[in-house]
Amino acid sequence: MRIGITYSYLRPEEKMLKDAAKEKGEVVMLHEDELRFPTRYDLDVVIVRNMGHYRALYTAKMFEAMGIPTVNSWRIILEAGDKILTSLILHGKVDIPEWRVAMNEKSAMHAIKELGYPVIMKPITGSWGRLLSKINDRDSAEAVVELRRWMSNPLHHIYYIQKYVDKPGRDIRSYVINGEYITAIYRYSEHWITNTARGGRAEICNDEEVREISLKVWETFGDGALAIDIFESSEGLLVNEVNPGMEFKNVVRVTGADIPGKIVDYAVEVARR
Amino acid sequence: MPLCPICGNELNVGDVELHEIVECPRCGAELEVVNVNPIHLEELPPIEEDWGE
Repeated sequence: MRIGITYSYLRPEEKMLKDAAKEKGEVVMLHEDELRFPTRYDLDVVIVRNMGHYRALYTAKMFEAMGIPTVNSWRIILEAGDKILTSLILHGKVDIPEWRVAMNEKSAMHAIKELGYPVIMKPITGSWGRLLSKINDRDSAEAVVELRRWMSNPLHHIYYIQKYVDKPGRDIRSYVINGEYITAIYRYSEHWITNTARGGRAEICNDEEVREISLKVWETFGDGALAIDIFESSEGLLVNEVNPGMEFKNVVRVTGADIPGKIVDYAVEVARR
Repeated sequence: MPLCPICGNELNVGDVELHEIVECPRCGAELEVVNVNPIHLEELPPIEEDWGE
């Protein structure tokens, strides 16, 4: 088994994956400097770990086009890496925060009014809590919409808006790989953004409802290694986001779960499909 | 020992690999190993808009 791992930087996650993959076969580390397509790669499967969403997406697509399956697949990176597509996939299947998509400034203001303050405006793709805006009133809504007008990336001119969920000072991150629920952690923070990439504290979460909703999310996507962000709300658990390029050094530290081993096992299975 | 390109601190990075990320304990800068023999470090570029999970 020849396992490729594409990457941008060698983070602790990529080092752990490399060590886990060595147990299953020959590992070929492919830094972005060395990625060119179309090229013949003698590989059975590729674990895609590029840090940029679009680089990961097109890396997966190019390998798949050459007959080499990837983890995650192009489809999963596309759908789970896009908040609008994720909302569409989960809508009606799993409880999620109320959401709207608007196509211009005027419709964005209407959508915000419909949802009622406060709301969260998010970029369609993106991570680590970057560019999230909590909008508490009409003045701040107008300011955020106005600022977006001058952002050159056209994706910022499509407005993804969520009803703000009042969380108990924490959210939940769960991990489901190839249909197997692996583990979950609480992420504590006094800030409304609870992402551990922003300094949130992590603690193990053992909750049957978290397990159930996480597996339901995975079944709705139908494949993949997924990191799922969940809010506890007065209406029960709500799935906030799904991440196709999971980071896991903190969760491995806190829970001891063998996430890199599970990802590699999944990649080996994908290679044999 | 390699120097931090930001603050000049001598860094004991141990056994590192190409493209590995290390942090300077003095100034907190995140650095990329761009050469391993001899070890040479460069500051990580600013985060790009679509980086993440």
